[in-house]
Amino acid sequence: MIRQAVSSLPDDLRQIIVMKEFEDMTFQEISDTLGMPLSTVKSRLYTALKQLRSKLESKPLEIV
Amino acid sequence: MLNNNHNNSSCAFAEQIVSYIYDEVDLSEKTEFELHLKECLKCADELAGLNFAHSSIVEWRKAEFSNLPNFVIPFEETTNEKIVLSNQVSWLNNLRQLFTFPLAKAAVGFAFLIICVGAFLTVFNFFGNNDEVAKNKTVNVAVSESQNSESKQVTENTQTVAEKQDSSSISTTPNEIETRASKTTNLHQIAPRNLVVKTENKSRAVPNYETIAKDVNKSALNNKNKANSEIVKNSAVKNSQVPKLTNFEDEEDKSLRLADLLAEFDDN
Repeated sequence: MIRQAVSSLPDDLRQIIVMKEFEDMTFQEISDTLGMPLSTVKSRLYTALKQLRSKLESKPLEIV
Repeated sequence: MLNNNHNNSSCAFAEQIVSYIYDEVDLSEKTEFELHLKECLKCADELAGLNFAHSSIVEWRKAEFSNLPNFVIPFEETTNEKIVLSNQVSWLNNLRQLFTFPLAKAAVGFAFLIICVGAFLTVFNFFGNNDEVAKNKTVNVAVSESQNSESKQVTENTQTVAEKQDSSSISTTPNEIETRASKTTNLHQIAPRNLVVKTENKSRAVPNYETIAKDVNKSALNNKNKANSEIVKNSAVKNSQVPKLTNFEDEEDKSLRLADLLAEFDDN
């Protein structure tokens, strides 16, 4: 289920989730790697986590 | 019940929720955010929903990827150490570099050595030739001086010889003159010219004329003394002008003069 939720994310948001959760990179390292501001990295990660939360919370509700 | 209406969050600490979840905030910001969470329910709800998503990903990662073998890339750290060691300049390396002559430097040094040796030899030969020329000049001067001295000695000897010959011719008796003349007539035909000079000098007075032998002898002696003196003077002058090592030519000249005188005397 979490695999489907992550794979359903947009590419830019999934890229941030993979770099932060699987590569254990800091915000500064992600911003340096992608060449974007630190605030953008934080906002994108915030958005990605919110979409995952919604997808994870919506499925059980749908099942229920 | 979970609240799905989280998109309307407009709190100023919304971005700090992510930093707080991943523990990348300062201590002061952390305490400040925790104080804010006690007051703001929306932020607390957001933190709970985002932390749920984060924890679900961490559980999925552990369940799916923890059993996978860790792929370790071999990294040769010794290469870096070798590079560092090679970059280090030690006194031993400097000493080795000092005694390691490359071929180019060796060739240049050898060529320079050859050029120096050639230049030294040329200079040495130049000064050596100058010394030899100076020596040759001194030798020539010495030889010319010795030749002059020899020529002077020769003239003196010729003078003494002439005087002796005169005295001997004067002291000879008519009998001796006859015998000498008989000998000289034969020798005059056979002997060479130089030998004839002496014999003719002695046989100046031909003994065939016994009556006038003494007068003839006296006149011949006077003429001969004059001729000899002239010859000696001429030879001395010639010797002074042109140095000669022997008196061979002087005697030859003398013989010529004496032969002429004898021929004139015979004619008379």
